[in-house]
Amino acid sequence: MIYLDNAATTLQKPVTVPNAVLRAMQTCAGVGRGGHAAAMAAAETVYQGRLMAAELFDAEPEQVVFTMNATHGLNIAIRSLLSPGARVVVSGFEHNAVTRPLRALRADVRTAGKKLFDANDTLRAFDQAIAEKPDAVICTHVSNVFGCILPVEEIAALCRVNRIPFILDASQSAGSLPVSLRRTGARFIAMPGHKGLYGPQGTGILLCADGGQPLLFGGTGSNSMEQEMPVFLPDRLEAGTHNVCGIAGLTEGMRFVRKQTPEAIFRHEQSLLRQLRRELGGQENLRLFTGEGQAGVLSLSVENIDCEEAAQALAQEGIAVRAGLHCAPLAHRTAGTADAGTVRFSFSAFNTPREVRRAAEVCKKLFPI
Amino acid sequence: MYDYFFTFRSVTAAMTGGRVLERAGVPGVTVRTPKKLRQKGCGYSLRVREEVLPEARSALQAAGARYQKLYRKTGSGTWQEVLG
Repeated sequence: MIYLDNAATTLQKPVTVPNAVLRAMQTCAGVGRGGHAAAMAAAETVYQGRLMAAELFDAEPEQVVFTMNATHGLNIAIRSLLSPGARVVVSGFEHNAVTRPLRALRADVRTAGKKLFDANDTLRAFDQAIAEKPDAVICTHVSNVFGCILPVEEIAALCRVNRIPFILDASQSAGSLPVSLRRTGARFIAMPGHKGLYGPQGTGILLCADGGQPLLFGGTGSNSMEQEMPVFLPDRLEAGTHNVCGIAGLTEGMRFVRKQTPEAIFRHEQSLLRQLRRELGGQENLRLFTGEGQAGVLSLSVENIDCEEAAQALAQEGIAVRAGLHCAPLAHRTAGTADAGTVRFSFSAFNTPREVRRAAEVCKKLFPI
Repeated sequence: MYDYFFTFRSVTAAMTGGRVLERAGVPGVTVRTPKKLRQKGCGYSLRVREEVLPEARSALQAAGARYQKLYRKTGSGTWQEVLG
């Protein structure tokens, strides 16, 4: 199989990742639940993960909260900052992990930035929207559907100047683009462990500038006499036993990213993106969604063929891609593809030019002009 | 010889403190905080020997590793808070 569905989950992991998961399962108990060797091994394992994340994302270890996934982190962030009816500005490319929690809060949502691959337009739209002093701004770093990179550094700067809390969704950028808690001044940055950080599914990280409101309440191994959750991080947002095995794997995934460097991974994915764009560029029956400032994600539609059927045909030829709305109907409405959906190709550090060439050949065979 | 316990609010904070001592070359070990010292329930401490106490204290303070309190365990098994 040629796996090109990395924007959903990276399937190929460094071998150190499953090894670490197994080792943790065999040697680690629970974090903060004892002083014996297995409990301390768990504490050390999870602390290593905090150190690694803090280093990669320019934060302090105590600002690193382990979550189940990015959705979990975004829910914590949104519930921490917003009350029912709050006024929120989001980009036109947000995932349901942002829009559904906002709907649940009955938030008054304004969408800023509706042009694909037009960072200047996006920035102007955010500038105007932020001037109206919303209660928070939430923005994805990279569209999971189209790969367009949003100008989040500049949006964060606007938020800082206007003292508006900023939440960054780094689901598609963590591991391949610079993500910094300190530099952005974001209140929260959420990311999954299982995509560009090459960790196991069911892991995620929420970087917290300063506290937050828990979604879950329970044991933390600290302040146990008190019936309120601890006020300090990370305990406040980490009730219950940690996914120590998952975090052990995630730590090794982050170690891999740090060794390769996010810049090198980005360059590699850019090279594969350009290759696929070039190889499919002459196919008049394919509409490629592409432009300036695009990460390693390429969506396309096939003339007169349903996107799910196209993806199924590719799957039968051993090419794994994702079709449909990609849990991001807002992004599809923004791009005018909500009715038809798209077929999405997305790359990782493990993909090769040969795989991309093969994927392009299969596309041409299955969808001839 | 006395044992000294720097108490921390969480295992994460204690491990951060432990790294500070490690970098400073000061021997210390992360342990569960003795029950009698826990005002709010469970917690973790850094235990150090008396002969390295000044170095441990200054290393933690210099790094901004905020411990909650410092206790001394006496030979008779009682605890005394070390102030200042």
